[in-house]
Amino acid sequence: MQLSRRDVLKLGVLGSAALVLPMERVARTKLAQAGRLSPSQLPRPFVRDFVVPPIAQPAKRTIKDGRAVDFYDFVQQARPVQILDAPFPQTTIWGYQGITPGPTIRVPQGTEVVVCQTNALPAVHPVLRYQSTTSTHLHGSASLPQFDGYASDVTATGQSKYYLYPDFQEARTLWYHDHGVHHTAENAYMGLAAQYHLKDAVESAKLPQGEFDVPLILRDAIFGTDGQLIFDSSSESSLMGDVILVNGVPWPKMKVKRRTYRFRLLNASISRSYRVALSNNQPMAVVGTDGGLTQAPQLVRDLRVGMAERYELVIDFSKLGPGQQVILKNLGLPNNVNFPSTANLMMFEVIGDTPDTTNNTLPATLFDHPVMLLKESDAVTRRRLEFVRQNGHWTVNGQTWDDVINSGFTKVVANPALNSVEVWDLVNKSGGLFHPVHIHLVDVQILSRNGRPAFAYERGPKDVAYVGENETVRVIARFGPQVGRYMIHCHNLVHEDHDMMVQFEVGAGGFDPRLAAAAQSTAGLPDVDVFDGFPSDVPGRV
Amino acid sequence: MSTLAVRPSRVDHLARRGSTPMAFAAALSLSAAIAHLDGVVVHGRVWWAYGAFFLATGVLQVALAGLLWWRPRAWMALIAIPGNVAIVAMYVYTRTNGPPLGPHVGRPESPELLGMTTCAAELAVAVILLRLLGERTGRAMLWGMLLLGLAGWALRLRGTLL
Repeated sequence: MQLSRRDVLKLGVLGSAALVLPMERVARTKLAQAGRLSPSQLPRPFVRDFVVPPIAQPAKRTIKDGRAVDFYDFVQQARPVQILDAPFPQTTIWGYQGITPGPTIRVPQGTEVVVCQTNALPAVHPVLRYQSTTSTHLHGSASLPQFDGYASDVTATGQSKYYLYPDFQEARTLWYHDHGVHHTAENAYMGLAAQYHLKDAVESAKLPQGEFDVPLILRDAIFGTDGQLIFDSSSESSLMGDVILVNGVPWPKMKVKRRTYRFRLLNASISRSYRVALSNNQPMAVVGTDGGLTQAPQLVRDLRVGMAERYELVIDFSKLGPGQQVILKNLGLPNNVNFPSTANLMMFEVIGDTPDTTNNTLPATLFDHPVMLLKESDAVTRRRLEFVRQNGHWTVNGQTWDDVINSGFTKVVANPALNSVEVWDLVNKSGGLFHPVHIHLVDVQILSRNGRPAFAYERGPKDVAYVGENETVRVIARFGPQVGRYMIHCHNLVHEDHDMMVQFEVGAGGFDPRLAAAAQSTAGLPDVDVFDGFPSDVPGRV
Repeated sequence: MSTLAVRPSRVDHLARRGSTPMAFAAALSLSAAIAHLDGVVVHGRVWWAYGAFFLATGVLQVALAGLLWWRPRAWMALIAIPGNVAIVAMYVYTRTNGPPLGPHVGRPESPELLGMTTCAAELAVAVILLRLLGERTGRAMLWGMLLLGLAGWALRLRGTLL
């Protein structure tokens, strides 16, 4: 056939669709990133008041099989919030209950918690245009596999999923955050993160409580002049923001009284690590790490905090005079993009005395966590996991989460027997990158770094090990108490998504982390009013 | 008689071995094949089926290039035009909504220069091959391509293509 000019125009419709549609998607994202706030437009530091995320109230409390059960009904929602200074518009965040950080769940040891997580987010991310499926991981909990926020066990918009948390572990600062496959970084960056405090008699008797027990959720972000968050992961490498948010507020100022405070510091950043210190060079006492209390307070003047790491710090303001100000600084670490604005985190301003002196003096000893009593000689197996970028993919021993998916979720890098003790070497041969490695389910003790002892502040139970540049970190753990498949991954969430994540299996025959208690439509769930603890037909209730 | 309504004079002209338009189409198909074969290992590492898709596409495009060079015939156009257009449609879908199957389902890839160029080459092959067809069949193909293009834009405006 002969092609006329009109025919060519017709073909042009197909040609334009083929070539323009893919480019338009990229251009839209780039345009959104182009309007980044200039340094002079960033929020002014130490102006906004410090805020504490609200404590979540259970929708229902019951006793089931002789155990207390708290039921929470959470909705993941998009909401506009004013983060930037006027005249910049509000920022749309994604939050548990529509706030970021989400509400803190505070629960005594031994109380089971059931959280119904309903995804009410927009079906598609407004800028990045991905389908906003979520999975909620309670980081630090020995949850059963199907309640661990398995990456590929996702909940779509309009669906809900029950999560059961056993809470039998020692007191600790946990946090719940998104873990949806391939979009954890974006979802968490939008705000799906919050703390979860497991309390027990030991920490209640020894450490500051109430208003003197303060969560500090640290993260960085990039904002556009339209007020919206900009997600720029530098070609799937790292996301480095120039605005520091503490509990969702840019560089806040906290008024403190002249006494000791306990700060539950969590690095909820996507890719940024911090070296935290006080501007007056005052020492801080590290009293807790990821998995709970340390054996004894460790006095440090600065400490390195990788993504997902938690440190409980006690800071003594009693020797400072009213009106005195101290800045919580970030001294910076290699392989972060350090902006002038990221050198400061928040400010403390002393306002006066308080009559409350409860737990105002630190005891010499705190708690002997079981994992801290393990010795290297207890290990029955040694393993080595290498974290490396290969052919554009972030890998663990050359494997990625794609390999796990392709195997029908059966492929594992390790299969420790239930309750066996193993030593793992976490290896980073790169001099240009660091990888905070998170091993799900278990608490670990860091035995050594390149053969040298762990840092003083790391001498407590951990579930994230900062594997620095050219480092081999040796950890020991007892693998249990649950049976089943659990994830191991880099907590640079960009690396995790692309695809530095694999899994191990404790014992054999655990619940399928993906299929049991899968997400279901909201309509299929029992009504909260008639809810009695936990659905009996869901396997895995402890 | 042929149901393809191919004009004898045009077939005579185009069907000669190495005629300029067909040689050009063959070269474009070969270049697209090389691009696909180059991607077999990288994509196969993610999922064997992705690799198999790239391999099959590359092999078929090599075969098409050879046939167009040696013995271009109308029936080839009847297969190759929808085939190339389908590959282009798949390219657009994977760059907007992500692959429809496999471990990267719903995870869009970035449009890169090589992919865009290959996409353009495949469209060009389809356009050149229209000339092998008779008026009626060619028009039907053309309308099909127009409708597919319109559907692409409509799906984008509707938000189905992300």
